[in-house]
Amino acid sequence: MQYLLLIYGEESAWADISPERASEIMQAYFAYTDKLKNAGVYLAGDELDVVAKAKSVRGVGGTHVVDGPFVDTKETLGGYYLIQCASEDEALNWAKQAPTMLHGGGIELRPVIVR
Amino acid sequence: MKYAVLVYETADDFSAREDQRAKDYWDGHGAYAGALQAAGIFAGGAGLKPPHAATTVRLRGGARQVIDGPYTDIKEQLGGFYLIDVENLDAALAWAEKCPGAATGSIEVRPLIEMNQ
Amino acid sequence: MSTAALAERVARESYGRLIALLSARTRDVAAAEDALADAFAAALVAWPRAGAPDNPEAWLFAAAKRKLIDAARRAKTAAGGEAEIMRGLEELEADMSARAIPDQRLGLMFACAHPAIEASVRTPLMLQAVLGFSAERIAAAFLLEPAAMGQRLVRAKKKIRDAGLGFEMPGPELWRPRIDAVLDAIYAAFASGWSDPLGVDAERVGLADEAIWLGRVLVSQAPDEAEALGLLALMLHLEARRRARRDSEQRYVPLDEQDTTLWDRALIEEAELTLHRASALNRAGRYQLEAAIQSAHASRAWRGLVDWDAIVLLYQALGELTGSPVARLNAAAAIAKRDGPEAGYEAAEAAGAHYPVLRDYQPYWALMADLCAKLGRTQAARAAYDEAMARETDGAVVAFLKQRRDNL
Repeated sequence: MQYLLLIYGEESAWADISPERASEIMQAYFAYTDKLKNAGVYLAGDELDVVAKAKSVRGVGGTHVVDGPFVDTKETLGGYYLIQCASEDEALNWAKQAPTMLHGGGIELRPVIVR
Repeated sequence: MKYAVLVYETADDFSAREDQRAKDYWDGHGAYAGALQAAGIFAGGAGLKPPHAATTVRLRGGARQVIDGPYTDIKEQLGGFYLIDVENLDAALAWAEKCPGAATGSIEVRPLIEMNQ
Repeated sequence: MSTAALAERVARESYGRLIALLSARTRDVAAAEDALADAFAAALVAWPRAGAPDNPEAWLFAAAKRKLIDAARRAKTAAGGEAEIMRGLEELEADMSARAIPDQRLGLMFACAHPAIEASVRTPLMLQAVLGFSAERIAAAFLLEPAAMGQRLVRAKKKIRDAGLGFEMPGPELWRPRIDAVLDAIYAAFASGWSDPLGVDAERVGLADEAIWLGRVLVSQAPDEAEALGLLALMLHLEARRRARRDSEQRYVPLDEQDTTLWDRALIEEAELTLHRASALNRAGRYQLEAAIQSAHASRAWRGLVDWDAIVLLYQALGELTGSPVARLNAAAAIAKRDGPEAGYEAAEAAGAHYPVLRDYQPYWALMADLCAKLGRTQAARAAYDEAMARETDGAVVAFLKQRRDNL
């Protein structure tokens, strides 16, 4: 069975972090990813950029775009797509065409950090 | 540049996957994924089972805390994800507990929709 | 035996086993329940006509299996599809010998008490999945709205099915917390039934019996699990004294004043044998300690007196093991019996100071009142009885406390 492990954490805890500590944490994640791969269970994984860099899209056809993460108590994450685009505008364009936007659902567009 | 298009759905949206709107729902996503692939920009994607199937795990003081349901608080933000293929929920929870984020944050474990073979 | 009576007997003895078998591969308890309900309905039509089958359980399993496959065919979004369900069920049929149905109930109970299932729905889920209780009956027993209870059960069963919550045995690292969750869920059912000694509450009647039934199933499935034996022994001891807990006028009778001729000797014997089996396994635990305490109380029936020293030590051990304020309080009550009211009062006061939560606990005030009375502190005793009464909902117990206060 396939499972998504969604990693939630307090971004503010990263704000005052020392470079040494940041490096430590990254090493921990690399080690964890290796463990998953060695066990043959790893399918994919990505680090998302901070919520301040997110854009939230609403309204039929995605007419309403605001900065920041999608925060609504009535909606929960139902799925995701990963796309490679030349620019954020291009990505936003594609986001507005997601099927959920046909009836005015919700999309959050977040840059993925590629190290 | 890589982007995640995170799809947020209402309870009604989740129902649409299985009621008389199911065909339109799945056709819509199939067409979208197809379009992304045709444009050469598709880098992955997954449909998740609804929130009732979620479990949240934390590691505090070396002890595992397991909560029935998705992460619903607003104190923590989504910072990343892993997609894994394991035998069952217990196996997924065991891996979630080992994730570095478990000790300071929360790991939500959500099964993917199984597509019919 | 009439076929209706046969069906009832099979339902009583085999319901949980059949549900566990039918849902083990697919993890779909709700579908198994529906299929089995249909199979029973079919049996009530077919058996009078064709005569009762030699192996009614196998007949029901086969009928339910066919219904499951039909339902899978009709469902548009069957996870894994019909082929996988068929494969799973055929493997099962190969497992079944002429007389014996393989027993997957332990796995089902582990699934019901899984940490990913919200704690307050585990007991209800177990009562429904293993014993076939309706949501209405469970709701009434736990003083909840039936609709809300029904919804929570539906959600819990969906969780098991959709989250891949398997019926596999937990490995050694996780065994202890997982089996403890199963034990706690069974005990919660027992406690709900036991708090209604006269059985005035129609929905809670028999709940203690059902919990004991679950305890017996667990012991048969996990015979080397000392705490399962401990829990069963505990429940048997407590149930043995049911008829003595209220007198002929339905008044509350404290334990040390109970008429031991009203105690059920057969249950006590079974409890003692079970506890003996547990101690032979040499793995102490909370339920075994509680059972040993009840055993010490039960020995009054043949020794004429209670070994209070043993009870003090057992409650102290229990308190150390669990950190339970109630264990500490009960140790104080036993110290009072062993060493006198002065020592008991000191111990109870210390318990209350260490665990402020005890100040909301009726038995704490009842104990303080009793000890103050014995020490001649009438004023304090009266006040304490008032505090106790304010925290008690059982009319018979309130009347008893009032009587004691009035006699000061």
